[in-house]
Amino acid sequence: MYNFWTLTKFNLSYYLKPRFENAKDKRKFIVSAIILILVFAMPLAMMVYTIYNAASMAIQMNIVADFISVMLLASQIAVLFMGMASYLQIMYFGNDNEILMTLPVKPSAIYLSKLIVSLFNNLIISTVIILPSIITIAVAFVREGFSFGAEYYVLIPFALIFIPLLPLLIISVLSFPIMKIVSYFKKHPTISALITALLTVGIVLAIYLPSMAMGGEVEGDISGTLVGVMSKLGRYFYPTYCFALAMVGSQIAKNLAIFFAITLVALAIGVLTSLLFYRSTLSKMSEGGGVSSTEKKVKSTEPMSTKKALVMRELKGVMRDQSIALQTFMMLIMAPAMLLISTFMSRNSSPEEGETFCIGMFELGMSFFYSFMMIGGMNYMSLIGISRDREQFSIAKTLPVTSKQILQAKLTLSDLTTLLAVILSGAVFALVSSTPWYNKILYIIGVFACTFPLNCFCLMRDVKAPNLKWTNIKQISKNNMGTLVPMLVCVVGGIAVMILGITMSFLPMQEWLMSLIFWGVVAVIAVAFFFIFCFRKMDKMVEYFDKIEI
Amino acid sequence: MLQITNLSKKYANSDVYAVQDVTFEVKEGEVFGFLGPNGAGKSTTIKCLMGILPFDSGSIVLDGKNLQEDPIAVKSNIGYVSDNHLMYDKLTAREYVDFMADMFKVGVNDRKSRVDKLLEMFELGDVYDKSISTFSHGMKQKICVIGALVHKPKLWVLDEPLTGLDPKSAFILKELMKEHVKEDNSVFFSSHMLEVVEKVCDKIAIIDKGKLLLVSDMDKLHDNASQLSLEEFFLSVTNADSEPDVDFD
Repeated sequence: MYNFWTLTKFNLSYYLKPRFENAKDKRKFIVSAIILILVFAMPLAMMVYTIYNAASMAIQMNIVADFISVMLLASQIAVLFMGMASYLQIMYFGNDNEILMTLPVKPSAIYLSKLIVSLFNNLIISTVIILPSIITIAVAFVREGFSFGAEYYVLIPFALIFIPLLPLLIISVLSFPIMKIVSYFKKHPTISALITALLTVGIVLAIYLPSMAMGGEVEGDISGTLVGVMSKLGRYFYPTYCFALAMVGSQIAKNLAIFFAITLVALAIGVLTSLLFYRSTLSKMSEGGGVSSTEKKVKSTEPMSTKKALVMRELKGVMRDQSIALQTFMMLIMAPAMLLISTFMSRNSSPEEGETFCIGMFELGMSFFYSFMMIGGMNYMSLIGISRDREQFSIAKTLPVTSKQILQAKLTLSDLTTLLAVILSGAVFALVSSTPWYNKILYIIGVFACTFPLNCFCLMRDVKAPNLKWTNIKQISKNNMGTLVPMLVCVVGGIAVMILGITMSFLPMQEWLMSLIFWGVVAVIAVAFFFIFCFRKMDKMVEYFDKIEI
Repeated sequence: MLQITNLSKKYANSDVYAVQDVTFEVKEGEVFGFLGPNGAGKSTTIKCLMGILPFDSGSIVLDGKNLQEDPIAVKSNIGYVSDNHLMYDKLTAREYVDFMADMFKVGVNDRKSRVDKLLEMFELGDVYDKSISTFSHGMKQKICVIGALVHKPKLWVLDEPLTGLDPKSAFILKELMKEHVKEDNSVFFSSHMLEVVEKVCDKIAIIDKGKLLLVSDMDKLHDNASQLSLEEFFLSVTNADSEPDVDFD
């Protein structure tokens, strides 16, 4: 038990505590965090506004518990969606597993300590959704002349901690079969990472899409539609509904008992499964991933041009690193998956009576936002273009090629990845969107034109301050301020285009004219991005590259 | 072949010179040993020579070409074996060596004949298509050596090359060094193994606290300090506060 707490304390610090080399880094972190909050303040305000309107209606329709349940469910779905990849990283792909396996700690203790790390890791996601929702609902309730009992407020901290635990336990149990398949392909890290990404997104979609489909037929304005959907969704996940009932004071003891009993059972299943499979799964993951000469026929040596050899080396390096390959595949698959969901969401947004509404423009705005965010801000080929090489970066400096050639190889691979992601998203958009064909073609061109200059920007940031001494992918991805800024740029750019699309969808205008204006604005953004992030930046990048010390 | 003149390097976050005013020359056909205690500045000097680290002042010239003016030409003539088996460990050994051959523009026939010979010497043929990440330190070191020699460099630079090698491989490596200089090439290597340096090197330099303490031919060293082994001599030089008593060069 002592070891478990020591390990948990260490893991929490190792995985979650931001580390600063000096006061300047700390200042940068604080400034970036403030910028992040400011950037997300706008969508958060929109979310609060919608929740307030819907909550007022829910109160009038006497479905407050259902409504609260849906808010809690939304946070659980968000944890399922965003938490799966980080859960797998922490549990199975961390470089620390080999060390942990040599320690005098039970596998179940390692499992539980890492589960707690994952829970803390996901608290921010659930807090961002639960806290504003719960407070907004309370405000709406008071404005309508009612008031909640003390249990509503007392249960808020419990909601923040225990509501994300259930999806995490679902992820935990599902991860064992996923890892079983992954370890089968251990000798082929690219296939293994691809399968992990496909299964992860597939499972989340399988849970998420039926819930979205439930609300498809409801009529009325946006808020009204939302309430209709909520009343159906509210009971989708029984333990969450019980918790919501307890919050509004309905059979508090009974409903809390049901919620915690189910949570405990899920936890017990998780721990029991970990006792059975966790150690063996970790052991399999730690086995060497080399390709034996009997399994692979020896290829004849074919000389390559310098440029091709550099690009291929970059590609092989990325694809054979399980963590980085997984991040790359997640980006490639998540972008179309998010787009699929955003299109479903668009279908639920019907106009008020007498209003004109162009669903195609609405879909275009929403889809552009998701693609922009996922493809532009999460391309690990450029985001960590230098950092991913770690100490192997030194080799590049010893090669008889210019710094420019090395950087161009990294950019070429980043651009090709962007292109692939845009084509995949474009194909899904073409299949599911109801917008005219020309918009579907322009979508591919537009998203690519806006996102490819960001590769230059991302690489520039990484060249300027690379982290070549990381041991865990989180240190160079989520906990890295260098990767945060491009994501913020994408959020701001994406929100601008999304607002444009949504606003235009309500304008009384021909669709071709709307499209013309929409793509005109996108073209301006693309050109601006090109000149700000790409044009003549290579010389500066080379200068930073040459200054890197290792 | 290689002239390093007044080389000085201070790390970005340090006030102290890691290497200060280092000057020496490596001639054609020479095996040059670079000695010094831990943290003396050996690896920093080598990293500057390899273009891994930018330096503050001085010059590095190989075969008449200045590293700062024409880095590609200089690097094209160097083969490098790092102290930490620096290589792309996600590649197979074959992919790594082929990559190095592509970078140094080595033709198919040349790379095949050179690699086959080295693979046979190091007995690595069976694992050539395996991922480097599964290799032991010694095996990585040997693949590093093959990657460094695939283009038959004029200057072969090795940083602590014998660490982690089994006796047979260490012997082969020493033989390879001797063979390499026979063709008017040069070898420049750092080492802690003084008995190896004593047997293999034609010339040595000793560096401590970033400053070069001496440069000497091995023959001259033996003549002037005949009563001392290289180990004793090394300790006397690196422990002394001032320059050694013996007069060289």
